[in-house]
Amino acid sequence: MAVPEEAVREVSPLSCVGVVAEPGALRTLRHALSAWVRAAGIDEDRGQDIVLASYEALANVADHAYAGATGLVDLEARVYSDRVEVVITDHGRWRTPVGDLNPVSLRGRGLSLLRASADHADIARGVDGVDGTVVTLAWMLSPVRSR
Amino acid sequence: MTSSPGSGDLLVRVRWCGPAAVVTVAGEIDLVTAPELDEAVSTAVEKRPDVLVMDLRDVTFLSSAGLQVLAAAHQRLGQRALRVVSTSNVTSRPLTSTGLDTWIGLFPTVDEALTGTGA
Repeated sequence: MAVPEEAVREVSPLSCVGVVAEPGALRTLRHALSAWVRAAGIDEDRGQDIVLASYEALANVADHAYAGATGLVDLEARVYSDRVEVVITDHGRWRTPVGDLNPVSLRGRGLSLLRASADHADIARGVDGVDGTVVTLAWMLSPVRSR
Repeated sequence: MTSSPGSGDLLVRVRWCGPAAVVTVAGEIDLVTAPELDEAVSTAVEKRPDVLVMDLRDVTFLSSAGLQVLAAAHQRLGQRALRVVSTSNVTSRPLTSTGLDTWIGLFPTVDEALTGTGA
C-alpha cells in the first residue's frame, strides 16, 4: 500500500550517526524517528510501520551484532520522490534469527515484524568486505505527484 | 501517540476477577520495558489463572520484545487462556502480522476478553 502522497512534505533527512546500541539510546532514536515521520506528514498508520520496522532492525543490532559488547549504529531516514527510505548500518555481525515454523516460538519474530511492516526490506552483510550490516527499508509513495 | 520525553516507565497493574487475572499496561513496550513487563506477567502466570487478560489499550508502542513476553505467557498457560484487549493498530498489527493472533485472542473490551466472546 502506497503512502498517501499528497500529504508527504519535503523534509531534511534525519541522520543519526554513532548511536550506542543499547535499549535507552535506541528508544531515544526511535522517538527522533517518530518526530521526523510526523514532520514529514506521513500518515499515522504508515508512520507506525516505519517506526516499528526501523526499531526491529535496531533491536536486532542491540541483541546480536555486538553480542557481549556495546557497539554503534547509524540511522538515516530520507524522503525521495517515490519512496521513504530508512537505512540502518552497524559495524558488528548481523545474526539472522533462526527461522522457526512454530508461530509461538520465542525467536525470529523481530525479523518477520520488520518484513511485514516495510514495502521493501534489504539486508546486506559484509558490504565491501567490511564487517557489518546495512538494512535498507523502503515504503513506496504513490506515483502521481500532486505538486 | 505521545510519550513524555525521558519517561521510559511502563505502568503495569494486575487485578484479579476470581480465577482471572487482568494485567493493564500503559506506555511503550520495547527493549527498555519488556523485562519489567515480563516480570509482572510471569508473577501473574505463576498463580495459575484460568484466564489472563492483557489490556493493552494504553500501549503506544509494541515491538517484538513485547510479543516475546506474550508468546512466553501463552506457552505457559492453557489454550485460549491468554487474551489481549486492543483497540488500535499499534497493538493489533504486531500480533496479526506475526500470526500470534491465531493463538492469542484479540478482544475490544476487557469484559469480552474475560468471557471469551466478541473476538
